[in-house]
Amino acid sequence: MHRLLTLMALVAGTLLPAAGAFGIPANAAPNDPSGIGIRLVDAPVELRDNPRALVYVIDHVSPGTTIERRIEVSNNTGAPTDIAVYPGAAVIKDGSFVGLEADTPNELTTWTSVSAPRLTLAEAQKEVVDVTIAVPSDAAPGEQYAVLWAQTAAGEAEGITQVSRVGIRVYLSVGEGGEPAADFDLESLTAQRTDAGLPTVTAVVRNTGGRALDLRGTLTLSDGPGGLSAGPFPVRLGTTLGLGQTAPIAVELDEQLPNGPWAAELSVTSGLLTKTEQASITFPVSGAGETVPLSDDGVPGWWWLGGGLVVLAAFGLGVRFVRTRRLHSHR
Amino acid sequence: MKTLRITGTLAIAGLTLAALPASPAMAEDEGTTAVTFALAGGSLTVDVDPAATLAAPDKEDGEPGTWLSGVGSVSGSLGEVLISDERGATGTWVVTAASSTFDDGNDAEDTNSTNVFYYPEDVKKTGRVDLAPTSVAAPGPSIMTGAPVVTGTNVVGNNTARFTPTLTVELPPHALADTYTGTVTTSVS
Repeated sequence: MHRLLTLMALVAGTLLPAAGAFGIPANAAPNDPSGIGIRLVDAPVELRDNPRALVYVIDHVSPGTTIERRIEVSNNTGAPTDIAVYPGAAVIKDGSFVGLEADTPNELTTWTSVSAPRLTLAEAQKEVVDVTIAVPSDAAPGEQYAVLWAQTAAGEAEGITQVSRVGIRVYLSVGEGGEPAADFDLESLTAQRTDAGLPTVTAVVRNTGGRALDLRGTLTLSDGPGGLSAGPFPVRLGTTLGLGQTAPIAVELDEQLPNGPWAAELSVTSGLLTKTEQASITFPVSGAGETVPLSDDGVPGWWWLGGGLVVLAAFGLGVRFVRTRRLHSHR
Repeated sequence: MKTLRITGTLAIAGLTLAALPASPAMAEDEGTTAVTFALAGGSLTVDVDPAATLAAPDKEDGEPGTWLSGVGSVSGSLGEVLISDERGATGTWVVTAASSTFDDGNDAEDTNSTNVFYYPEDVKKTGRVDLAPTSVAAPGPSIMTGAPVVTGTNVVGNNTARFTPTLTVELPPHALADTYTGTVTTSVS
């Protein structure tokens, strides 16, 4: 009975509300606690135009190369905090880049070391930590993933202890020669209606290149009934796509949207690479409509054929013109 | 000719400027990567409550104590989670949640939690980001193996996300009346 009472008392105890549970506005004031933070301090000059390289550690190196980066760990929890800094393995799964539990190792994490594995930071203090990735000379080619984590040390608490960690992703490609090209295909487009009757556009994206992709995109509808245009609508898709993986893309639209036909333009971007595909779609009254295949490169085959014929014709005309001029000049 | 010479000088100056890094931070050594430049973006941050306590079902709801005799689950709020992305970029982010086994400290391991489910609720945002919350619910794999719970996609510039997770810990029907403790890790990268 005593144990039961203990349980009742502990488990039915008052919930501890979060610091922000009392109506703190969404736009937090600068002095509000924002927890622990991490940022990448520098990136390679040759990647300065790649937006992904500004927030993640992205590189392609030959075996035997050493990479050096700096990260900055910050404490804005409102109190002095012990922070652990370490690399942990990551995988790309179901369209998400997922850091595995604790310091789960993989090859990449065994090559990675940090200059300060333990930090004690005062409130509002920042500390720069050097990260070294020494790729061994016998490293197998391929792309590997990890996260450089900053983690609050777990305290002792009854009930639930909450640990938070924040990290910088590492996408490291290993291999001789140049960096494998990133590439992807948008394979098909389908207009359909959900069970609730909402018009939806779905598509499939396939990673056909040699690097993982972080995807974002928009869908624009134009040339609709009465010349209507709509969008751009943000595309809902998994955030990260591993090598050879496919992922569904979905865009839910407004119920009031006319059925069409529409000229749909789907634009998807990863880093410096953008693919744009167009197709004519009509939303069905219910269920799935026709699936429209998309060309591999966004330029239909007939365009190349037509363009080639035009070039040949122009060349032929040019040759004939020159011959005619020569004949005239000899006379 | 004068005009040509001036243009040529400007072009060479332009090329030189383009080749210079904004803020060279590291020289190229043999066997290391090339010159780096300093980044001006801010941090990605996470804030959670250090501790939380779950509540038993309300004894007034007609099922007093049923969780002890077979229902076997306890739910409650973990408090608010705040993600601040001040990187000023277009990088996506993913929040994952992972839970240890909830343990009453006894040697009998078969009384430990069987599943821990996670429901991100009351999701709010600021800035240009699309948030996709994912409930990790029965009968799927629980967060005892770790799972994505909120993703931020189509990011443009600084953004924040707040949500309040509800946690449900499932205990076996023969679970002992005791204090159960466990650790929930919230990760964002």
